[in-house]
Amino acid sequence: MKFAFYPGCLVLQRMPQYELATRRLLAALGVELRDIPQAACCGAPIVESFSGGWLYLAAYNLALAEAMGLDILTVCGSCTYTLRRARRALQEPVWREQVNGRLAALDLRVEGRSEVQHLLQVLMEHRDTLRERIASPLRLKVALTYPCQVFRPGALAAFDDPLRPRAMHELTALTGVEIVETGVEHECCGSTYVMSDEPLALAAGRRKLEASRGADVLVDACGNCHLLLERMQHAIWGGQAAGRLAVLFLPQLLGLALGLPPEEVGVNSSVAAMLKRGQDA
Amino acid sequence: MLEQCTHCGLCREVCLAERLGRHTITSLLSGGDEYSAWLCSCCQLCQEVCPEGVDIHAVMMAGRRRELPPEPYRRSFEHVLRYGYAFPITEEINVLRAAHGLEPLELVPTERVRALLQCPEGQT
Repeated sequence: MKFAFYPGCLVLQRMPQYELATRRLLAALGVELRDIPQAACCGAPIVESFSGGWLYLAAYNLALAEAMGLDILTVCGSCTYTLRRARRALQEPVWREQVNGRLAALDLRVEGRSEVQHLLQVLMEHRDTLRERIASPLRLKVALTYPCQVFRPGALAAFDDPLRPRAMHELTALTGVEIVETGVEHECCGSTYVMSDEPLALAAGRRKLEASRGADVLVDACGNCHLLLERMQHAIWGGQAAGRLAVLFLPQLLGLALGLPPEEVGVNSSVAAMLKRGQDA
Repeated sequence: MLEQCTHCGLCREVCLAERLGRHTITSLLSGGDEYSAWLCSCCQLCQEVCPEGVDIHAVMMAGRRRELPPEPYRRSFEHVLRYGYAFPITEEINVLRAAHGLEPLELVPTERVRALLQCPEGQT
């Protein structure tokens, strides 16, 4: 199995550990990732909020993957949604021709052949292998938060239940951890408010973190969720260190359960030590 | 886009902004003026539960183009035009990538992004 890997702006700029964990975990599962040279922003709400040109940008990325003859693998919710929407639009001959009119200047053409799959979809396809390969179960309490746009709208995503998805529960359960039900795992984290109303983003993030208090670790699968729930957690707690919750990307947790060294999946030493204490307790 | 809306209010019930005491789609539908389309988190929950299949995302995006943008959004859009990404990603990114054991990235030439968005150099 081979994919054209599309990490997206946020992960490229701020979350190399997510890219690293994804690459190492998928390599361990025999999934090959190829970079997409000259890939650009997907056009996700930022461009679309200002211009209808988002479709051309999204289609450009699809065209690059199509020229490689590969489906696309994404790791964030909004890139997934935007690229899928562009692919759907390209099924309409009118849009396809309009887009290709502009891509021709770049010597590119797109038919909309490359499918767009989020990491969670690929991991679900490999869950039997994961189950066989997890040697030493993790003894931790884990809360989950789902990336909205990977599952919704259901008619576009065609993956899992759009309102109450189970993929992250199923994959996380393979590691042997105890899953703490928070009641808000399927709700939006509110990370996009960081760009429009930061206090609102912090209130949304606090809601999620408070509901996850019984857990040792909160696990996510999207750069946007991680930006608010991990990177901005200090601000969420008003600068207080007490109550801080470790947040990991799902491929990091799965990588650790497979026995990959923490540094190979971008887990820093303090979090690794904390996880080890939980393991030894 | 809103012709199919029957004002059933389901979108209001599921909206994160509404739960946090703010307004996006619902106030727009009920004619209120204390809403901002920029407070739509794009979670697609309203889209999923809408019994009439209203394209709420399109309504929100059209709303954003009418309203004044928050500064971080405006800046990010400029980044896309200038760098091809929502962040100021330049060749220096490959130093960071190497430190994390990641292969270097071949960045998109800005002219490509400007051609796609049909923005001549210097114009945003």
